[in-house]
Amino acid sequence: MGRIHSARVLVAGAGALGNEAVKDLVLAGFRDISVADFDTVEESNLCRCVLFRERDIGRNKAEVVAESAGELDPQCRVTALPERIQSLDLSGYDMIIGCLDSISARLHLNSHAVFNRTPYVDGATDGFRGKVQVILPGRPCLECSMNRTHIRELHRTFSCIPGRDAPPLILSSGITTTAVIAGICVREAIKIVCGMESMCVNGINYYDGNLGSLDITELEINPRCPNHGELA
Amino acid sequence: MRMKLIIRNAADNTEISAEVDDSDSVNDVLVFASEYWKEQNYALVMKIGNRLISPSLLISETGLEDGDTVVIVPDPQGG
Ligand SMILES: [Zn+2]
Repeated sequence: MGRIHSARVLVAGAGALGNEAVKDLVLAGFRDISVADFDTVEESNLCRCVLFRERDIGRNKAEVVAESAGELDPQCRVTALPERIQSLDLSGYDMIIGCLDSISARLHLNSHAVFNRTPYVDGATDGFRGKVQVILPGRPCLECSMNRTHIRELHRTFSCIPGRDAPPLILSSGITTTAVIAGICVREAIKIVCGMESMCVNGINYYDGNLGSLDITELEINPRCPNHGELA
Repeated sequence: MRMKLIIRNAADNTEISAEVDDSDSVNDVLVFASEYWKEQNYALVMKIGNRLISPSLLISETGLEDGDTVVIVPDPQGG
């Protein structure tokens, strides 16, 4: 447990997925967690976020998550970073877990992780669907698989809050997907800190709650990827 | 050279037959599929079997053959 206790982990995003991931990290024995989010808790978050309570409405999400997660294990230090992902100092972490809601924020973390060789576990959800990709040195990154349909949605916020601009599919049944994807992210984080990187998901782990399927899509480094292809 | 691809949408399991040129890129086919199924709110990726097809490749570089079935899959981005 020593490696797990001492690992410095950044959870980027304190929405539904970030809540679940931080909860899992604390229960798994991680004791040095930072959580980042600039957004504030809204009433509509409460049914999706395990660490938020009604009294937290209007407060910064990262601060609420840090406070609530700290109560799960008093030996765990959870530091709140109430900042935009693009403003964060990303140095000094043993790994990053991405629980974000936009492609642009993902690409920011992805570029940093590849350049600095920091392990990055990216989780994402959309209604019944979710995915996890582990970015490690020498492996494909998020941008290797992205295409013009991603660019079209680059600055969109894929919010889980009903009433915003989220597509209808995202508004339903998200929390079961969130639990699955957060669990996989933390499982992969445990492998990384325990020196089992070779056992990490290689490719993209797609989850389809409609079919009950969980499969790995093989992925190669894209030689035209700006992060580590021929242009890097 | 033109070839026929079967494009299946994993979101609803429907499929279409489409003629593509081997000078088209995978990006072109993804945008076409996105517009056809009006998946305007989602990013998509394209797979054959359990392998993701690199978006920057030309169809002629993918190894796809006439009559192959490719699958487009919604690529989640929420959190
Ligand atoms: Zn890449």
